[in-house]
Amino acid sequence: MMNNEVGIYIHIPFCLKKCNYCDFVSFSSYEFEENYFKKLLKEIDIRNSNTKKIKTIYFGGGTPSSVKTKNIRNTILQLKEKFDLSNLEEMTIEVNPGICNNDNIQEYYDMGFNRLSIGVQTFDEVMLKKLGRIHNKEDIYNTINMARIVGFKNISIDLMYGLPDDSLKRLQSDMELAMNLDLQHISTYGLIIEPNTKFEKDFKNGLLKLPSEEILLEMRELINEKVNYYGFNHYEIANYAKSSYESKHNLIYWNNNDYYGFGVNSTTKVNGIRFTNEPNLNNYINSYKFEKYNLEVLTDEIVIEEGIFLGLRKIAGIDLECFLNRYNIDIKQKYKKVIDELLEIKAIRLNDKTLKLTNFGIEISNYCMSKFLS
Amino acid sequence: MTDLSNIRNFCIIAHIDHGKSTLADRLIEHTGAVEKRDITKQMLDQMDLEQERGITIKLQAVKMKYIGVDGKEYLLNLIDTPGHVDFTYEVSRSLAACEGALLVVDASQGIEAQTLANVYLALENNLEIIPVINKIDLPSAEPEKVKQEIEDIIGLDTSNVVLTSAKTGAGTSEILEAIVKYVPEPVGDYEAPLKALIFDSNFDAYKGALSYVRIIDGIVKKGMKIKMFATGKEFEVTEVGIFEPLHRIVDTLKAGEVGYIAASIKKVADTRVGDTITSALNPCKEPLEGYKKAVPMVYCGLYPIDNDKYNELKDALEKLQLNDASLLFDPETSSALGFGFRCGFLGLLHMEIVQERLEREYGLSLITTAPSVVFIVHKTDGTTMKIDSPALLPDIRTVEYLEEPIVKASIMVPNDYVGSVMDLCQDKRGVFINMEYITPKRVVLSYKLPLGEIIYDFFDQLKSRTKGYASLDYELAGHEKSSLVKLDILLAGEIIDALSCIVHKDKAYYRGRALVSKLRQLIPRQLFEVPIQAAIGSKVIARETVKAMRKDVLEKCYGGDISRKRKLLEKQKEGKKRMKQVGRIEVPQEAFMAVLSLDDE
Repeated sequence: MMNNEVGIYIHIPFCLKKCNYCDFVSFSSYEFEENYFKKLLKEIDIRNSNTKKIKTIYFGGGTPSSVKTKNIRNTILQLKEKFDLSNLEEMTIEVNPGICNNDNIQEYYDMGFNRLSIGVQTFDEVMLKKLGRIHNKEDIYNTINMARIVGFKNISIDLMYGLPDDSLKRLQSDMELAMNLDLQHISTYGLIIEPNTKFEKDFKNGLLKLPSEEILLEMRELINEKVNYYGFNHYEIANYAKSSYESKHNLIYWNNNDYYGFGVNSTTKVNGIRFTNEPNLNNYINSYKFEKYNLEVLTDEIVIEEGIFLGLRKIAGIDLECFLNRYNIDIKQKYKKVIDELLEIKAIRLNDKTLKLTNFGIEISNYCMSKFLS
Repeated sequence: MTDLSNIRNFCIIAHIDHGKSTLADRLIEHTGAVEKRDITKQMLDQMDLEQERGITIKLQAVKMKYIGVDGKEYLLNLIDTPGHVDFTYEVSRSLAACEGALLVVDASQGIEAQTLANVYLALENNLEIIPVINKIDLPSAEPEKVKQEIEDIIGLDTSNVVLTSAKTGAGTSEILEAIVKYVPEPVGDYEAPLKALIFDSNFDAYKGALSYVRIIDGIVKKGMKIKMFATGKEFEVTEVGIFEPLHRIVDTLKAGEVGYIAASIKKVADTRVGDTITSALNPCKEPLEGYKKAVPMVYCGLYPIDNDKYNELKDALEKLQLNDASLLFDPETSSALGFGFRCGFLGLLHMEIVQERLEREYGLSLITTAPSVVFIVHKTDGTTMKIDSPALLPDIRTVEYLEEPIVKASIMVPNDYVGSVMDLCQDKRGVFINMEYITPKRVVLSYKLPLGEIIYDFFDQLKSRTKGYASLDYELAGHEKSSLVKLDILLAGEIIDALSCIVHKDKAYYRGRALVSKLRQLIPRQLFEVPIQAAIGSKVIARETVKAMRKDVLEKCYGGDISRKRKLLEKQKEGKKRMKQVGRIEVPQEAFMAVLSLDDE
């Protein structure tokens, strides 16, 4: 568990259309695009730091592939100038099928991106419509094919399950199709009805028929079985990767390491503090200052507790010796009561080296993790 | 007799929200008893809780100097009264300390039941009543109509009525002048043996229990030996003072005056409201009339969520009792909740206040069990016993019958709502006594009602069924025989004694079903299935199940989510702290009060 790895997250808040389930900060007003990037570059300039070697860069959104490639390129150039990228290992961009053409993908590759994260969600045309996605099945294949041709060797897709009128059969079909694509990484997310989304409104009006908890559990089981069979490792609650293709950027979060977040509503955690940028696009663009929201000074206690609950998100669990070296805490000793309790219900497994959640423990991970908080 | 013509003792009678505290502030401000800059909003309500709830719990008093239009200087003592039915007795004692009362009525709302009850109390105590119509600045004000109402309902002459707006300050000097003019001067004799009425008491950490008194006859000063009539206990006065409204030490308190006496009294129970203080060496012959010992009407169990906090709870209750003689508590054990206390209160509000103060001022997390009244158990062997907790009900085979406390309730309501109030009283097993049109539009309904029904959701129901227009007053009217049964609740097959309640036979099925359904919503999912049952004796009348928790996971957790995730987990953990571990089951605080919030259909 190294603690000198640093990542950079760049938020691109633009989408052609908001999906029915999405509560992320995103806007379809592209007339602000140029001003946004101007401000983004300025933010990178102001908050530059050469003291840390950057390991990963991640462009997320929104839909990063929906903005001009020129703007992405300028952002990278700015990062190169203001940060030490000499040790950069991974650079990811989120791409939505149907919202990027072949030239884009080629350009991303040329700019130095070495990992694509594709927002597939499902291969089911009917379901794609329900979700309010603007791509179809064909777009998915085109995007992935093109990425291969261009030379991307690390491709990840996102899939969703537990959708309105969802069934195990539909998921089974999605999983088969996904597994046949010979991908390196896959993330799966159960649908959450978030506040202020179209789905929330529909749900309240009784228009959404969502699968029962029993079915959801079976769905996760199905996913686990499939990905296992096709050689993926389940390495985090919602993430699976072929050997050595784990997301290095996301591991920075789960390893409780430092990261910069640039752009509207992005979160930064460096040198023991954490804050979030201005969440309103207009304010972000027009304000003279870079306001810090939810600024937290991370006390030892917070750092340790987050080290535990983030560590437990990883299927490999927490390496007890590393934890002791890094935080000077003997987990076994300090949390003996909690550990005994969770062992008793078979939610965790403990040996000399590691503490980790069992499959059952993963399903009730919030319950388990909350026990470690003071 | 001594000349006391420059003293006026008065109080203010008003319904909650009719502006009593604001008006008092105006009077204080006008007479300069407090520098204007020192006026915190509503001087008399000193506890945080009082200001928050807008009610007076602990009485306060204040002395004001006023130069009348006749050029004479007067000393006006304002004695505040609590504005809630739980504290009727305290009100009657503070009224007894006065010669006059301002009857404050909201210019748009008119008279309410509570106001009326207090007016009658004031009339019983021979007080001169000055009607004050407040909030005349409101667009909806109808002072003429309210005046008519005062004449019709109370039969008061309103020729001396004062129109005022405590908000704008209009009418303040007229009120002061009316007090001087209409409130009789006190009658008393400096030379007679000391006779002082305790209208309130308060515990001071340095001086001990303070007696708030109105001196009827005689003089009291430092060093005097005094005697409490009710307890016969004697004390030596260490200090006397007046209220400005902060305490100011004076040399003597004389007949006609209002102030406090400190005498190193250890607990307020030794200086009981309504009792008479006299001189130990030269006592008066008779105490003042009207002393009653406060009797709790409502009981509930108080348990620390964390069993290790039992002693802290005990200390806190002891401290609260120092200042609240009507709070009773005795140790109690529950198989579900462990060690705690059975506590007696004057009413529901009193109970809520004590509970809130324990949590707020003493940082305790508590489980409060549903309130119970005192039942009289007539056993088959001819003996009787009183029980204040369902858990104490003896084996039903040894019980001949039960008696429950009954109250006589007066509900004042606009005539449009008479029907729905009668329905409510019917639902609550009420027996109709009388209906009286006090004005063409306002009705007073009198009912006999079981106290046990009143302490459930009667207030809330009354409010919601009359859009808040009804007001209620009640007094205890003995015990009556009733068909009552004990309703038990079982969690995972075990009877949870703290959830048992005694209910009327005809309502047991409904209550059982509603309670079980409510508990299913309140008890969070555990790692195992939890059946909830309601039973009368060995007969199960309702059953529901809390399904086992199998999924509680947040899949997305990246940089921007961590802080949120942490808060979510903390909330979850915090929620756990508010839960009581009953056997293997974590039960939230609200569950123990669930029976109070059933939607009666």
